[in-house]
Amino acid sequence: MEIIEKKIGSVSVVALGGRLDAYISGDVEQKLNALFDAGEVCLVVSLERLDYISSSGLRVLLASLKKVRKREGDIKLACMKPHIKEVFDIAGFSQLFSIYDFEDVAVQAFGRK
Amino acid sequence: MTIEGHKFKLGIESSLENLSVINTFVFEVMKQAKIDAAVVPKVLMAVDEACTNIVQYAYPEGKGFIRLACWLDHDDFVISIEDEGTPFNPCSVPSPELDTNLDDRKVGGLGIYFMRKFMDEISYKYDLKTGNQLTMRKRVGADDRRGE
Repeated sequence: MEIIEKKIGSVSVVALGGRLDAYISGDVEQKLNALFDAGEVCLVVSLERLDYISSSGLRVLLASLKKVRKREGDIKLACMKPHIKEVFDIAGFSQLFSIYDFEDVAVQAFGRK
Repeated sequence: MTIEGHKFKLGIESSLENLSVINTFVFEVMKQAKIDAAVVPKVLMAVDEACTNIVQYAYPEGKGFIRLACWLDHDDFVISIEDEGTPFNPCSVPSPELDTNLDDRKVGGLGIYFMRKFMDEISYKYDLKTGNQLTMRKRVGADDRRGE
């Protein structure tokens, strides 16, 4: 599993790669919580290199979304592979998250809100 | 090479770390069985969710053992997963409420929902000798198998 962070303007971009299963989801949750604690509530999570997400990974993203929305922020998702998008659709998560095809479009969407 | 009639088995310590090992094992068997690439991620997710439940709920205090077997049975790819932990029937868990707004959306129950959604048949039995025994079947008939 790889977690890469960068900052574009006021938006934090977190790129997740590899397998996001129950073994890794705790690490991802910690990483996201650390960003929230530092006041970062405008996040783009880029999933271009993500091969797998289990319900544990979905749970972490949902819990994080609830946290940032309470603080007027958002988590926008970008660059999902089709089989990952299918998992989001089945879980009913595609209607909860804003999902973009490209990372830069997701980042720019924060400026337009 | 044909895998018809052959059972592939894996016995492994129950830990979250081993989920990726289980994934690789089932992936390799499906590759040998020439299962349609579109079906593979669905079966892998169902197996991962089932084994995650075992690690987290069947053996909550720590180490136990998980026994997997997979084989082709006519048009079905079959996976049997056994553990000797706390009796737990995933078939008894109700489906989560998916059509709610963010505030009301609960986070539990999704794993078993995916197992049901991605597999064609799930059955459970428990006896003192074997423990929990979960069997999942996925139809991979001639149309779903690559090659000849």
